[in-house]
Amino acid sequence: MYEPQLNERKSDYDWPLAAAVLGLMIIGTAFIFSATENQPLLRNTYWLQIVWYVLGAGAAAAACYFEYGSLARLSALFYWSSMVVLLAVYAIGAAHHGAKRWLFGLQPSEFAKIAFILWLANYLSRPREELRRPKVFLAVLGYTFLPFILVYKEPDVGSALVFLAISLAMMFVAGVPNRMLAGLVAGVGLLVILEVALILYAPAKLKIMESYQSGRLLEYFGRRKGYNVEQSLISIGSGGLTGKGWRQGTQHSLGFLPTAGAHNDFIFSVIAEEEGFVGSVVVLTLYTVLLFSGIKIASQARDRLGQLMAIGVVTLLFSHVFINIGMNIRLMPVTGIPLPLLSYGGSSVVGSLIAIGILHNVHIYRRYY
Amino acid sequence: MFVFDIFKEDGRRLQVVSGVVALGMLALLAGLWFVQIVRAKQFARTSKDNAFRHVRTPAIRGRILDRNGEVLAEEKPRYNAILYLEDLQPEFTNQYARTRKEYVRMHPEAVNAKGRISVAGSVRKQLQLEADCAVVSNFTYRVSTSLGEPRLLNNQAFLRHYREHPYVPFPIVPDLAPKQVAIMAEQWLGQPVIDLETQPVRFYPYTNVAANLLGYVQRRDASDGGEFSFDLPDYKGTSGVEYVYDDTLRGQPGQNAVLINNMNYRQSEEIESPNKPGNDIFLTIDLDLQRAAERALAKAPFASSIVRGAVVVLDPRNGDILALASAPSFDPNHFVLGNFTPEESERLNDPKYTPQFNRAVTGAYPPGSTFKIITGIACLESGLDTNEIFDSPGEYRATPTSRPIKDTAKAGKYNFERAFYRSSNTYFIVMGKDRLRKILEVAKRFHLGEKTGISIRREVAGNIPGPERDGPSLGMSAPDICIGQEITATPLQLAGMIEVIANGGTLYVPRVVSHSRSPDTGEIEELVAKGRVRDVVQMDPRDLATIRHAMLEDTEHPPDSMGPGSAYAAFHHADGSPKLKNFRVGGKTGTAEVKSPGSTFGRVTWFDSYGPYEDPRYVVVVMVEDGSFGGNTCAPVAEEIYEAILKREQSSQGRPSTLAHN
Repeated sequence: MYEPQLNERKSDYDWPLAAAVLGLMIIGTAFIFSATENQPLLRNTYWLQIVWYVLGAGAAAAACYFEYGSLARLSALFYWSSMVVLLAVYAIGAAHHGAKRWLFGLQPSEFAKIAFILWLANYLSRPREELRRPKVFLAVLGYTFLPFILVYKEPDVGSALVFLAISLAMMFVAGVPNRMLAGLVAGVGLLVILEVALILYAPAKLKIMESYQSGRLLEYFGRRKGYNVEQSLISIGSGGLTGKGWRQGTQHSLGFLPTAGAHNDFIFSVIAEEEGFVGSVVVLTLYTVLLFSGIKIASQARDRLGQLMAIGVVTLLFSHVFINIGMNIRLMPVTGIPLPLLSYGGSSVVGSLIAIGILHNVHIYRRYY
Repeated sequence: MFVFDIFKEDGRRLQVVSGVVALGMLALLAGLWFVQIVRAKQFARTSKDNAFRHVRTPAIRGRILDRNGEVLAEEKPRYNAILYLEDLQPEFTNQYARTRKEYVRMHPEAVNAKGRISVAGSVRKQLQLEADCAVVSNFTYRVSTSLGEPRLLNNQAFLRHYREHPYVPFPIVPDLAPKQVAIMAEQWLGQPVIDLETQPVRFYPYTNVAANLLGYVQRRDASDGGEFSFDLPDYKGTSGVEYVYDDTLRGQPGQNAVLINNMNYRQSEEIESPNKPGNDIFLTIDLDLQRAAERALAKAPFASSIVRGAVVVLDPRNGDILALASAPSFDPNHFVLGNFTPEESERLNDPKYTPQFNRAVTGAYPPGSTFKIITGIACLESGLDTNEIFDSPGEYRATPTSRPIKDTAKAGKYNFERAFYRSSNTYFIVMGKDRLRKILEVAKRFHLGEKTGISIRREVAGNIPGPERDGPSLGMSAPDICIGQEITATPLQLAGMIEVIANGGTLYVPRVVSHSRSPDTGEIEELVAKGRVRDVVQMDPRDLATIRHAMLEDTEHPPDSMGPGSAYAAFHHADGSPKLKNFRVGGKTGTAEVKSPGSTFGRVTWFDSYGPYEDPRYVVVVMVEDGSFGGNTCAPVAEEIYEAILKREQSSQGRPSTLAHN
């Protein structure tokens, strides 16, 4: 009797979410254009970004064609094929700037995150009492650490951390007992502190991470001068209240903000320099709208599966935003995490849009009350 | 029920998630507030420091002109072929690729197992520098060959320029001749990389003439102030008028702001403040007289082949210096361009020749017999009878057994006038030795042994003790002082002495710099006041007349049994007719022995004179080191100068006052 109503589909859009996504896409195009217009090799980047937006929108539409439950049934397939691809990256992947993240021009880790969200949502949407079992908890940890290690070794510390964050948030919302979670947080925290301490104080013989990564940590703690972060701070700071004007930013056009990063990892610096604090606030607002729409969608989800998927997507997007903008203003050490929808990059754009498609999917199959 | 309960519980957890997200976004907002609002000014400044460099642009240096506007020093354009390094970036990249390929060919170990080239950072840097040098060297060679003077790049100079200020163009072929400029315009201009740069270079068109007086400039590359990242080469006066009036001549530099990118390459340039050209300076020197004086001095008879001496020509009516010569001289253009030959360098530093030394004001010499003017005045004031006959033995001995002081005037009978024009040492020693205090007092009255106060530097005072020093502690012998030995004065001071005799009692402060003029506004500023009286020298008019007539006799007294005036031969032809038409000159010859051990000369010869006798307009003082006698070395030089003066006066329609400016 409930069944027809429970499966009812409401094909309306969450307008705030759609508006925020559209706004971000416009901003992304505009500032990728500004960041690359003086680089002859990168002139058409903003066109390519539009192409990725369109492709991503298509993928998002595909993601909500079927009700999310059916996606969940395939989650194990998605998860394990992602792990295989991650292994392939490690073995035969293309190296770029010293990191082996790409396979055939795409970054599999972005898609692995989505597969992970689907799989974990499915796994955690079992009866609540089962979540109290340590075996379940340890299984989740295991399934989390597998992609974590594979991605960490690429090396891509930022994305690896995102896996942890997603796992933690989804477990929390699912109802895993707090003390288990507290234990996990404490354990991870200790490990992080230990690693940081080793890098800061121990001799160089111990290789915990790549030298450039430990270098970034040293820069973050002020032990070393970091050029990229210095320049991004100068970019952002010199924007002042209203910025220097679109396409008038001097830091990237004169090459102080490196061309390799101006249109992806450091795109926020370009926006901040050219549109100032006002521009930064606009971007933050758009992301906030995006994230809180996601949380609202989570609260209106019909079942725990949908709720967990939504929370997973929100955590994914939030981690990226926080780490990337934080890195630009030296709140976080430098890691190569893209800014969703604003950074240039096919995998990031398509991945973000698929994730937002999943949100939409949960939204249209939400509770009718 | 069951379903709702689940959601009620989850509501709180979702709230926690909301809280975390909200906190995170607020943290980002706070961070952005801090960076973009609180610290905005600091970052804006750093952003500007990243992007801008300040380059100082010097102004056109003022000219130095003689009293009639003839140019003695000016700036000439110098053309250099230059490269814009920022336009060479594509070439640098291409060449680097080639260099690297070559390196990999020679070092196969640089290719790792997967076929990728891996080169150490230091090696990569080395290859880049090599590539950049190769590109610039190639350009240098091609451009210089097309201009007819093939050149190789100085790698070190280039690398230093590249490291320190690549946003400034790099010169590859300096100092192009007009034909080369034409070739440049034809073949190379119009392309982005190469250009022609115009540099002002200080130029002295008359080379050696008045070199000591004018001084010279040297290139100044280092910046004085800290706010400039780079100074375009500028000149700074290092001696003479160039040095003393450097501020007036230099004008004010301007400033350009150069926008650079992260590789220090120039993107664009903007004039922040324009430069202001320096003012022209007018001297009191007359170029024709100066050249005549230098020519005559260089030909001084019975002196060394390279004459060492000085000439002062001044106007006794106001103290204006019409010529100030010092020999030997040098070519100041060589200082500017830095292109002395080894022989010239050697001669510049020779302690005997010292061409940079202005002998007219920096040389202190014993005046010799010319000092007899002072001795004479002192004797006259103490009551000497000019008609009293003195029987001279032809030499002076302090005691019958002491060493004699020789006398060119032979033994015989002398009155004051004959003793003067025959320059009898014996007469003046006998008359003056007991009147030493008076002599020194007269010398002091004429301000001999004191600096004259002329505006150019390096003037010396010489050494003439004041009258209060008369006594056993004096350290000089009275006979020597009477005939102008042991004491020293400069040629300029002696010119002052003659000036007083010529104009009857006024000693002016000598003036060689007159006024400055602004090239754009024409505004004139008097730099040194004209006709500034230093002192009025009191003299009995009868004594003055006596001295004047005696000086006239020095040049005009014809030969008789005791001999002619010591300068007679220089001013008269063999048949007795005067060489100068309607121009009578009064003067005093002088010859002094120099006994001090460290001296670079053993003898100093003089001729101090003025003319025309009736209405004096010129004082001419000639000094030659190691000449023969004042009469046969210096007087002929003076005579030639007077001839030039006469010619000059005639060419200005015979109006002598045109030689005086304003």
